[in-house]
Amino acid sequence: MLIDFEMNFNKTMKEKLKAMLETGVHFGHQVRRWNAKMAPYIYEEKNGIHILDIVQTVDELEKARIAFKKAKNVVFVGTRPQIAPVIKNIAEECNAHYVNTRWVGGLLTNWSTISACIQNLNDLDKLLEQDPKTTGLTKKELVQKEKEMERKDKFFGGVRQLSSLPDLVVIVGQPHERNAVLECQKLNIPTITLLDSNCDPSYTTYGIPANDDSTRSVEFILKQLVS
Amino acid sequence: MSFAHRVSTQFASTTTRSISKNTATKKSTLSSSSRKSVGVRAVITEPVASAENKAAYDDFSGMLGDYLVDYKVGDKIMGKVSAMNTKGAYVDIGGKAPALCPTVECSLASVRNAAAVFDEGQEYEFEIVKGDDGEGSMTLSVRKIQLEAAWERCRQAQADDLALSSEVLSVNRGGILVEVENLRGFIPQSHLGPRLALGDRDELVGQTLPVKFIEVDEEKNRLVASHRLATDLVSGEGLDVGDVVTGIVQAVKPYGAFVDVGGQSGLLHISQISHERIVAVENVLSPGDELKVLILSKDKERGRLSLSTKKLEPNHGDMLRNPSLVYEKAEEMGKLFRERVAAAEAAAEGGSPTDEVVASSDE
Repeated sequence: MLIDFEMNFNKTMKEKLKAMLETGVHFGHQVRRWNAKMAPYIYEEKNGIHILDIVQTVDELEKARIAFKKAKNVVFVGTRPQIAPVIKNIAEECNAHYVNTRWVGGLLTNWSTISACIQNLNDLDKLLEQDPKTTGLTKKELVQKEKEMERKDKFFGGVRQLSSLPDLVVIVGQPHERNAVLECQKLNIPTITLLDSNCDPSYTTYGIPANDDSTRSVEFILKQLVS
Repeated sequence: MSFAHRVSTQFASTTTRSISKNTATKKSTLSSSSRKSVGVRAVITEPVASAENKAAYDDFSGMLGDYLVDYKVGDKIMGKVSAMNTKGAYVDIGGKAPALCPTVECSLASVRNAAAVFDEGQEYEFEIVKGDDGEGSMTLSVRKIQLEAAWERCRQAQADDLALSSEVLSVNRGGILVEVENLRGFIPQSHLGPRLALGDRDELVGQTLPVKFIEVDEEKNRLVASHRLATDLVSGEGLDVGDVVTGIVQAVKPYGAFVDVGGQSGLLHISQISHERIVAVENVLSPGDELKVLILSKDKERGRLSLSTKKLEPNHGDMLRNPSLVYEKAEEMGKLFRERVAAAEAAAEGGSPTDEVVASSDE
């Protein structure tokens, strides 16, 4: 399966390029929807859409990989419904944190409050694991707690174990995740971003030119990143 | 690499965007980094390649051609279903983003969700309904393809005179509505088989009937079928002009009576019942009556029979006064009729010379 393609091990450039073409990494958006700053990363225009320069992708991916290996606390961010499951799977596989439903405003910049929320969620988890009789709560209260837990789980489920600000944030779908991008900028947290032709490369530390709309493409790049 | 990168390779360094006075603190304010306008309009240029990269770029451009897709509205393509949700099915067609096949467009028959029709990971044929909406995703449809195929099957069935199975949807004044090949069709009252017309029509809803097509017009969206044609195994064979047969009256109309003979329905016109003038058909005949009739003519294409009891009357007016006498003499009268017809034909043939010429030139 293409997804198991190991970029690093003894693959020729041609094979790497082929693998990326197969998964559709090279597709950009329509020409008129580009961000002019992406000009260096765009190879050409064909049939009204921009083609990303995936020869550069190979190098950028390698740099990002090295950075990823060094980092300890990593958060994957991708909230669009199509790629949400991919984000979750990848993050769980490498024991990282993730945000795949709405990025709660202030998750990083308002860390003191958010960490309290996360703590609350963990406490609720423990509470609901207990035998109902030992909790000392009525049935109704327990149901309320459950609802609370579900709601918090929806937003913070992926960052349950996050105890301090992350070292690295991986963002998929930069125009959509504006809040996350700006928070990382404010706090000088390095980011790895999949840059589509409508993204802004100046808002990221490690930009990987790649198609961020297709599940296959995102899965491929992220798998290479974490391997 | 000799490309204009705006990224730095140090792990913990700050990004180029933030300008802070004190780099030691984590929380540096984001300066009002109003977007510096790009002085020179950015243009995409050919990447400046070093020696080792040149080979890579050659490979790239060589292979790129195979992976570009250019789909237009109306194209029929194969696609793999990757995910399904309430909106529909997401199909991977090799483009930038997966295309969506909305639930309503997943099948000709109405389905509640896409999962009923598709299996995840399987390939199916789709038609592109809407093109690139700016984000790279298109809208697909299976329904359109199925619609065309269904009409084609109906046309074929009409051409080959095949009977297809249909399900009765509802009953109305002129006939009944059926669903055949997932299309809505209409069977006129006159084209219902004999066993059905007498029974309670409302009970028909939900039943399966074999039908043959009379009219298949896709543009006008007209689909007219006939149950009678499908059930008449003989389709008029065995019943020749001049035959005397027993029939049961099905329906009585102001202009005559519909009589079922040997599975076929024929019209016994008011003028053909008796030599004497009949004011109202219902005075003479009523549904369920059994009588002997003579077949006057056959219209095979329309499946119509013209019947007569007038010719069977030994004396004029017997149908009204003495029907049983008519029935007894029916066979004889029928025979007489046939002889008269044969004689008339022979006379016509033997008569004019032109007829002879025509007759001889025909094989």
